[in-house]
Amino acid sequence: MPSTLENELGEIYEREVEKLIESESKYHSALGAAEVSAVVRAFRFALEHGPDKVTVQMLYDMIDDSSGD
Amino acid sequence: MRLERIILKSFGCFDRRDFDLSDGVNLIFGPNFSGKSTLVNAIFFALTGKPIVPRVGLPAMAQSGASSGTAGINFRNGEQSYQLFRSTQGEVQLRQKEENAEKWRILFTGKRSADEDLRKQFHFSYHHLAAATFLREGEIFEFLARQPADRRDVLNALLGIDRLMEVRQRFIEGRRVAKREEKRIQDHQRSMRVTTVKNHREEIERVEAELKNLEGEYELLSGKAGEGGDTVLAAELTQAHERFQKEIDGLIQERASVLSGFTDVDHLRTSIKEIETATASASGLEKQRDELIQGIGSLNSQIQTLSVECETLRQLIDSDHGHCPTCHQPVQQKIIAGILAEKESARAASQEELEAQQKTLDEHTANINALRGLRQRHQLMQGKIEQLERIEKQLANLQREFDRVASRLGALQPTTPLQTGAISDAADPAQLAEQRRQLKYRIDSLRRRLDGLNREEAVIAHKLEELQRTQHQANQILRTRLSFELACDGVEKTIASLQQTILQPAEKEIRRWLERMDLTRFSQIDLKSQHLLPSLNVEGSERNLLLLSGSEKMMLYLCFKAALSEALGALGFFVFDDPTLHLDPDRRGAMIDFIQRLAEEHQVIVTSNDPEVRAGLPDAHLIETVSGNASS
Repeated sequence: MPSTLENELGEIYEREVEKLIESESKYHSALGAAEVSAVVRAFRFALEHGPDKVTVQMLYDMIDDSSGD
Repeated sequence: MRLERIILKSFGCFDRRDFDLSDGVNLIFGPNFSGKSTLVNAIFFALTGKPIVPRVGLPAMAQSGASSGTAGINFRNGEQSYQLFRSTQGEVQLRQKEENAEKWRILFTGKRSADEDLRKQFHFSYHHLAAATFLREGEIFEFLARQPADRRDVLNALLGIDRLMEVRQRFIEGRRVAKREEKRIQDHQRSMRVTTVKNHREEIERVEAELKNLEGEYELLSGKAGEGGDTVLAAELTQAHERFQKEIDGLIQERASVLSGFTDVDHLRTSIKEIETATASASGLEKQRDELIQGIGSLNSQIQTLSVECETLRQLIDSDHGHCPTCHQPVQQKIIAGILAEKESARAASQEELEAQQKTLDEHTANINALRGLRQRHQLMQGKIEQLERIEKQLANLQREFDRVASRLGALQPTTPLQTGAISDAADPAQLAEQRRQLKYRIDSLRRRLDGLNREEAVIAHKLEELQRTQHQANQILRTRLSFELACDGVEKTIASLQQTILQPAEKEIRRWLERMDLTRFSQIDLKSQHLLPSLNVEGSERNLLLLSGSEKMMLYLCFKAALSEALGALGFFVFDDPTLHLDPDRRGAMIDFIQRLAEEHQVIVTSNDPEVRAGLPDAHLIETVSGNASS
């Protein structure tokens, strides 16, 4: 992966997620800023640490905690 | 990146040779079996740790009879000069030239995999070099013969999509867990709805009204019969009064037990608020701990690397060889001792930092455990609040009943017979007794019915509360599941965006090269649909590389490589092994022209045994090879 792109991947992902939230009613009717922020945080975390170190439970906790707010 | 020198020791057919390279075109020229491809392989192996020809074992690259061979390159990256050595036994050493000095400083050394460090420092990877920078002999035909899935894997590795797909897989698994949980909650909700479909409030009111009428009638009838109806009713009311009192006492006792440790509900609520404030202020603890764990991991790895480096340096100092076993350069004991001291001091500093971070981590872990305890306590107290609310509701209902009975008991006066039609005519004592018996029977059965309804109503109220709680859980899990769906869709869109970001400019760049090479009849090149096979749409009809002539395939493929390299972030050099192989005379000229144009922007290293290439590149830096012995 070109390193410049690797650095920007988090930003690209955030932009794409925001576009999805705006365009898809199933998302914007149910999810708020806290959930979007948790999803982006989970993505960055998984990408940074790699799948070997990041378990499904870690990602689940990150996302589920924001849904309970 | 500019390659400046190739340094070989017992590598391929070479015993010990250095080859200087220059900017622009470098032509490695010589007959077959003179080691041209070995030089290409040496550069590729030094950079990636893999042979350029797949399925060749590392030991096979060493000179015949040698236990190990080493390939090294000197290169410039920006203003810095580096030396990279790699032995066929897997040892790697990267050095950097110190500013204004002839000394080389070791950046890392040892047997560990250095590919990630090299990738981060110089922004290249095995796939990048293999797909875009190097052209090995016969590669084009091998590439065309690859299965689409195989090419897709190359594309995914090139763009980093393979890592994104791994992340997406984690999100898919998370979504699966959320779906399972959602189904469990929905089943629970459904089972509760079945039992709470009917509300008894109206029926209770109806029974209460009917009971009141019947009790009135019974009092009248008892008065008329002169049998002291008040006494009978009073006895029944007293009985009910006592029963209600007993139930109220039981509930008060239950409330006291739930409240144990708290003076009242307000005290309980204040404690809950205090816990909520405390947990909110500690909400960042888990994230901080994750960061600490990451930091400690990185420090551990740093310490390990430094230990290996120190060990290698110590061995170098202790050895009597006087030469580095990896790069074969003379060993200067004093300088190495200085480097060793620096490394040991860095390791001690890292060790100290590690201990400090470990201590902080222990504190964080203790705080997080305390926080978990608080959260559990919070949950328990919330449960108590719910229990208390239920008890209060039941108490209010009972108190109402109790007050009603008490008021009736208090107001019980000797009855005055009313002249109602139903009763006035029944003057016969036997008839009156029968009517009273029937009324009593109905009153008793209605009371039993009322008790049952009240009990069911209390159960329903409790279940409604549980239903609300479950609804809250269902809303939360729905948001979690949708968040995972959003996460998966986001990765899909990122992959598409990444492909567009890289492949669209690459397609434009191919077109630019094709125009430069007068191959403009190709149009609408699509790298994505065929997974890196540049399929072509010529005047509306689909053609792919397989359908072109051999020389057209070669030219288009080279344009594709140059374009892909540019789109991935050009490294600054290209290495082509025998690019005119299989080209007809016309295309050979075009290829020479292509190399010259490429050299206007990049360093190009070409191997060939074609005299036409040599004649066509008169300004190239020439490296002539003869079998097993090369001269520059």
